[in-house]
Amino acid sequence: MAILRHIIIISLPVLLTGCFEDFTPDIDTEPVLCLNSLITAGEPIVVQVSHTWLYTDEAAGRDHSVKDAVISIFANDEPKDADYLPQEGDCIRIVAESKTYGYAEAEVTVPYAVPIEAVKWEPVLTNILSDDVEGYEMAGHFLFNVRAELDINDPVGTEDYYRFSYLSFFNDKGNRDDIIYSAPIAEPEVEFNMGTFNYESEPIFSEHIGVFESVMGGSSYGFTFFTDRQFTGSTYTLHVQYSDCEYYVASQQWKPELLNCGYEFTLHTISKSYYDWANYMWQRDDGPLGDISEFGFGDPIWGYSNVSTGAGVVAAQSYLSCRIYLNDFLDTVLKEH
Amino acid sequence: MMKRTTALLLLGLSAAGMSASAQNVTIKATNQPAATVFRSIIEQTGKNFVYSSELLKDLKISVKASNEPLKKVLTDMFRNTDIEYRIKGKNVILKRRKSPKPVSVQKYTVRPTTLPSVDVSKMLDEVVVVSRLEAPVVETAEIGAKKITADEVRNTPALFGESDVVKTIQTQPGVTAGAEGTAGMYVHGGNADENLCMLDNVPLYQANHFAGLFSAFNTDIVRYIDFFKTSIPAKYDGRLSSFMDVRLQNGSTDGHHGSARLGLTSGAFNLSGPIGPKTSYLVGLRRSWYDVLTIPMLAVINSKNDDEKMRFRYYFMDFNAKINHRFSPRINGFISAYFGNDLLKTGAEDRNEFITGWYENDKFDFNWGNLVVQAGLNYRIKPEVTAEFTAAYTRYFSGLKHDDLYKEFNQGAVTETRAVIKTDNNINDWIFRGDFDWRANDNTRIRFGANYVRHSFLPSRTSREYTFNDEKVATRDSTWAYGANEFNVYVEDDWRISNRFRVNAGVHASLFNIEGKTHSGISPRLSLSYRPSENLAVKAAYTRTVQYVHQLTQSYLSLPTDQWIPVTGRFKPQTADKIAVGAYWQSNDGGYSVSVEGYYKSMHNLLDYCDEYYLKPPLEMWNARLTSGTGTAKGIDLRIEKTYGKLTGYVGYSLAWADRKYSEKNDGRPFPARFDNRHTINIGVNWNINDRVQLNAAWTGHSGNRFTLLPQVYDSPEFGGLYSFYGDQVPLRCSINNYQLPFYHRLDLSCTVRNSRGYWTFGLYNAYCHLNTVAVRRSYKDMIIRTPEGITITSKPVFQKVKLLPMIPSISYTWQF
Repeated sequence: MAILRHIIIISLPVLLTGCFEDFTPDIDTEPVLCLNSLITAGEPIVVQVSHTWLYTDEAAGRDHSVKDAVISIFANDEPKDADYLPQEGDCIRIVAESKTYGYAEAEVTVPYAVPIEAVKWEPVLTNILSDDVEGYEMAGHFLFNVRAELDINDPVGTEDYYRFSYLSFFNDKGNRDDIIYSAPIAEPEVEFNMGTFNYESEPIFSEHIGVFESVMGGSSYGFTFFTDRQFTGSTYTLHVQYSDCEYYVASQQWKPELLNCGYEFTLHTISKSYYDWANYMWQRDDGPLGDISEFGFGDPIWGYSNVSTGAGVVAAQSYLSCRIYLNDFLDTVLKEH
Repeated sequence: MMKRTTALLLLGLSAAGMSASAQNVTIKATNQPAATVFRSIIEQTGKNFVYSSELLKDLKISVKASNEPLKKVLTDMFRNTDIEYRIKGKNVILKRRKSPKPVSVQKYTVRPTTLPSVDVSKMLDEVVVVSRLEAPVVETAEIGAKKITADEVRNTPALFGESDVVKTIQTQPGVTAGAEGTAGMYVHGGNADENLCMLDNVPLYQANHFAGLFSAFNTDIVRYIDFFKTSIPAKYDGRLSSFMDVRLQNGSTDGHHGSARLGLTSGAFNLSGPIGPKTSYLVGLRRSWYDVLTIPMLAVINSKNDDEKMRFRYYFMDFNAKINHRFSPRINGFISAYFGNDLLKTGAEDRNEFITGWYENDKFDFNWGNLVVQAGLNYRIKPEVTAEFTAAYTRYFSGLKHDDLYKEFNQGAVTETRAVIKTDNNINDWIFRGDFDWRANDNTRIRFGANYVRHSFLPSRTSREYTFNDEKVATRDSTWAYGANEFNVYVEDDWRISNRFRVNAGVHASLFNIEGKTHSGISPRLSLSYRPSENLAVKAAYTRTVQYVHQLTQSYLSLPTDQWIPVTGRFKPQTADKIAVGAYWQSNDGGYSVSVEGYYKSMHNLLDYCDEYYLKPPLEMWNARLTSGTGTAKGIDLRIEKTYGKLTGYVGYSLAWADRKYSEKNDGRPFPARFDNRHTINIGVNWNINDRVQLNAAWTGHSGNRFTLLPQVYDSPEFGGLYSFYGDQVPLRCSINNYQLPFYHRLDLSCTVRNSRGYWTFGLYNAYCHLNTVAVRRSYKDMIIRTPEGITITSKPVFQKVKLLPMIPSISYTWQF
């Protein structure tokens, strides 16, 4: 949180006069079971069962999984086997029991996937770094921006939560599903860098940020979760932008397959527990409350949980994807320059 | 000459600052104690009475005057006594005549049993100011009412040597300070927003500066403070816990006077004087000068770092102005203004400009404060009836702006993104008030009045604008605004039934209209007093208070992002019912007093953030983030005080419990309030070594504040897109305020040394340098493990106590002219 950082630097003379003293609080507390699971429609359910431990436990780095836990999965109140594949609309209940750590349960409904209905996109060439190379039929190195509009038709009568994600692909090989930064897809003679995703381009990615958080410097950087609160039951157009996208090619022969790259957009319909978890993580890591509580000037914030013990998150999602292909744009640029 | 250390008493500082510049007096008293008569004169003239306690012992006065000059009234009063008077500045100094005249009982009654015992030859000619006028606690019916003089404020040692009204009130039993060093106020288990801070009877919504470190009152021009925590006069309502009215001085009528003070963190300049025979003025300016230090400091730091230029400027200021005018012997008027402001500019300019690189200019501009303008008339309708008519405007404002410009350079291409977030938060109140004071007879005083307040709340007006390469890509504007109408009427009767029984009964009725909905509140007040002897009184009181506004704050500090919001939606006005009993003893000469008060307070419809409120969407009304609940507070306050003599002081002790219960907090289970400080002890000593040197010491100790400590953690889920990483730990929820910080204690010292032109004040905050724990946090401690293979550095998770504010010396000089 930028402003707090500046204030702390200025207040350093006062803060330096203070000190920290290690201590062990005398609070009576017992470990409990923790359940973590992200249930995806059509995929087997994986549940991590662990237990809580004292923060000051020196052996905290060890494995906290609970070996003696018995896990039961219920879908719409019916017990299911381990090979059960959850479907959209299923109400999944996970129950775990351990002789050592007791009992825990959590319930979540698998949401229905919502497709991206229409995609309008536009690439804009921004800089030619190098063009023709003698003896190469296919050569170029340039930067461009990509702007896209994606329509979402939100279902009527439901409270929906979403996560937007993207990846770049080259010849059907996807880049890592990583929306923090983009690593180039490299071939011997071609390189495609998906550029920088501009989080500020879509205001709905910052709908979780209140006035307090905004003013204190909180940004939506890295956060693509949102709700249908502002467009429930209607169509919403997501605006996405990438800047400094980079394409490089140097091939002695013209190979159309080297142009076969683009973006894959995925709209995850997620459970409320998933959204709340992401929101908590933002508050902890990027919001002002985490810092304020860290300095002792506000209440600490604890992890969001929908598990009966208060430990862990059982979430669910369904998703659908679509792609845009840059072939024509790249072909035009290479031929014109 | 034998010095009589306890023989002198200053009568000063009572109510009615409005009429204080008037020099004509209307009074009617029959066989009343001299002190009572003096109080009436003080209220009308603003003069202080300075005299020996022995001088007036048991003196009863009967006097009748209708709008007559003060000198004439005083001359008449003392004509047949052995007392002479002299008016010097704001003081009326009383002394025994060198050759006492025979005592007459024609108009004034003096008990002959005490006066002959006074050895006149041993009386001092000089006058030493050692205490103030406030109705002796055994004479009144009220519980938990305190009049605090400016001297008391100045004599209370404070952080950075900044004498502070609120920090003086913190020494009162039943008042908790909150976070270390701040001017917080938590009264009888209440919250910080349950105290109504007023400046000359007009509310101030933001009564402090610098995240609550200093209160917003320039103590150089403060005259006295009325503080009520249990028996609340019917005139006041609108807050649950306490009412504090800071009264400023009036302009001097006998020449131009002023002072200039330079302290460690701020300076002040004050001037007052007459403008013609009927008009006087007062101006006061206080400003911090921290920015004067930081600007060159930053210039040096920035000159050594080309890649990062820091930006920081902070100051606060208070400006007061007041003009009093006497239209006629019966009508006095005044206009006054106050402007308090905090300004914070911070940020940084970072650059890393190469072939590929970036540049960022991140700026935060915060500006917040109060503006109060008021005008009033004091009209003496009849000798026994006065009226005050006031029109006032009070505004709290907070404007915050965050401007973040980010450029990325990539082989000649420049990508520029900019986010500008602006938010305003303000309250505008127009207040129209009429207050009447009717002294029906010597034993009955009736106060009544009404007021109308037009509130305009703007808790948030926000605009967020994002541009990408100079093209606006997104905007989000939102405005939350409310208008509300508040109407109040009250009546209060202070009735001395007999010499032993006294009752103060009143009722305050209010209507609060907002969003087409009208809330109503009836707040009865009752205080009873019984005096089994002259020195002893036992009292009982019942008080109900209603609060229609609430402050939303997300930290223990006072920040400009805090928002005042009215009661809306599903919530009801907050109410508190308090019953209290007390016993009071005062020595014959009034120099020693002991009070013991017990109370039980029940609070309803309290508002607070619910658990995990930060997960609720901010787009929804804030109501979604709040939960309603109840609270109780109970305890005993003890105070032993020595009010005059060379050595004065107090010992205060509070035994208290405070808890809360909200439907959506702590799973609906009750939990202790954050400032549930079981034991609180305050000890203060003021030693007037001589006319020039005064030493002050204040020790405070209390059970530690409550804190929510999360002792257990668990493995973070390994999903959530970008956030989770292996090994991340998440704290497990637990009971709220489950941990109590260690016992807090601190000794503050100050010394005032006078010279002919002014005085030096030397201070030592936390004199024995005990670093108190202000918070706890989770952290990691590096550990070095030596093995035959080498050295391994690892981190061990630890809880740490955060300890702040060691011994801090301070110095200031005040030049008086």
